[in-house]
Amino acid sequence: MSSQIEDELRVTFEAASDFVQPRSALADRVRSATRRRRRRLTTGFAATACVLVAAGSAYVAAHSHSSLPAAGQQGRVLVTVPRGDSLVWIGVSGRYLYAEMGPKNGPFSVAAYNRASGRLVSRVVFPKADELEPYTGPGGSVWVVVGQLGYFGQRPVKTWLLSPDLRLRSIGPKVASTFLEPVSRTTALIPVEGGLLELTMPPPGRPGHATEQREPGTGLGHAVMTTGLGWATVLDGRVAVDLPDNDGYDYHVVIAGHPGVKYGNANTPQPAAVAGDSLWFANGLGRPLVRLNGQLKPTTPGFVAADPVLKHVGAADILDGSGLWSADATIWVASLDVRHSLASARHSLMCFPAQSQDGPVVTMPVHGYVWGLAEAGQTVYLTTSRSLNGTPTSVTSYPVPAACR
Amino acid sequence: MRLTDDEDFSAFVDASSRRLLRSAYLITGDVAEAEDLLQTALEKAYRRWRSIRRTDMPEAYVRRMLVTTAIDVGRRRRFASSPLDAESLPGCLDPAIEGVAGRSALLACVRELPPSQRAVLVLRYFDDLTEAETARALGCTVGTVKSQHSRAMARLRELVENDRTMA
Repeated sequence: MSSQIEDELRVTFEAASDFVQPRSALADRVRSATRRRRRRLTTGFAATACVLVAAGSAYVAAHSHSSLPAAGQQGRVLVTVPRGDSLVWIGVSGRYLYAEMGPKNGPFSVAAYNRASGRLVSRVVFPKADELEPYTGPGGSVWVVVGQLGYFGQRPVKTWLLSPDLRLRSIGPKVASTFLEPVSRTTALIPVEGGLLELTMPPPGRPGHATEQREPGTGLGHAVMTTGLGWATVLDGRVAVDLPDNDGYDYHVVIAGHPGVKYGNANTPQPAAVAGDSLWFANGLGRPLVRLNGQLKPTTPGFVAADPVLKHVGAADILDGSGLWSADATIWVASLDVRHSLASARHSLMCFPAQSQDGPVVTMPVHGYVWGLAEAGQTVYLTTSRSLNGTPTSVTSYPVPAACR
Repeated sequence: MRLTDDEDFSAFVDASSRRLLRSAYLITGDVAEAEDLLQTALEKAYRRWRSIRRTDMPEAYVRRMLVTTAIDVGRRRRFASSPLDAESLPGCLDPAIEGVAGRSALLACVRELPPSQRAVLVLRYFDDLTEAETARALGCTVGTVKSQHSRAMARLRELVENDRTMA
């Protein structure tokens, strides 16, 4: 009967799946989503924060924009990666600019550059990594969660803690999530099932073993899956966690230890950016950008809700990609649209002061598509590509417009 | 003319995505979930496309990510891990006798299998992979594939026999 079943399995599988069709424009969706995934949240500790929002410059064309053009913004190419490599992530801390580079023929790597001169300081190669998640943390610490492909899919396998110049390192154990939140030079919080785990690493270059312990009083309200847990970030002195629900189909944000304080119930993970004591959100398709306070209550300023671009920042379809980043004092929004040639390039990057109640929204005439952003001091660093299908290969620095600080 | 990486990636997606999606659907039993899994796998592949395209088997690389993730998702879903209960089966008739209705019932029986066993069957009988290729796709040994396949077939036989008895 085995042979009979085997034959019937072939017929059954063919017939049962024949109706299935891939999503339209799947390759474009993948490119757009790849950009978004890399824009991950960090906190004010690191002075950079990444997120993803959807926006469309179709709205830019359709609506008058009240923002102010920033005059005299000249970019300076600071870093150009080796031919064939592409920039996956950038971050800044202290005197260094950090860049994760995707492989050409070889493995992933993270490099440190002098952020004033662009000179390469050092580069760490991760030969067996299928995926990296780098973070900048307090005191110039650099954390890298290394993921590998295995029987159960992509999994974090090791955690590296690096000195600011990347020359010293300590290597810790496998952690439960690729998302971690550095909270000191040697400790990081990791969202795990039911709460937060504190990972303490030996200082880079020193002997010792990493330790993990459950952080008391950080319950998340109910059991969650280890896989699929989203980010954790410090918000107004507490830790906000992006929590999957309903077997991972819905996500909301909850304050660890205060599970009754929550926001959202979205169909997809909703990234966010922290600036000071506020959490900025792309609140799903068709909804405007919102700001939440430490109690996760909406406190969106009127000028954001009224801005013809920002009020539709989550309104475009999945083919429209854009980014939302924050530093301590500034919110950055990049809007893109693959359906247009970005003739409205002056609208490709906007910023406004995070704590302001009345704006303004400033636009920067950045050419190309913004993939990554990091800000430190009065300088913002961008990775851009000439086309949406291109890959970023250089880092350009611009002065932060005074009105955005 | 040499294709650029992006043109090459688009061509790969056009050529392979439907087959991969169908595999994911057969493992997960959910079209939307299969679509999400495929897109996620392609995103991971896209990030490393320059190195993947240099191999002869970009589809195998993506399939491995897709299948292992689908198994993982399946394990986390309650319906996938619920114990087999003959009385709750939707009807697992002898497929050779029942034609289309029987195939539908056979598919229902396949979905009662643990995700890893289901994946082995899909890879072997839908993707027509050899045992060695199946092992590579699952990131496990050929011995594991053989044992999973053996258990899956034994379970299917049991289901069919149960159903025949009940009928």
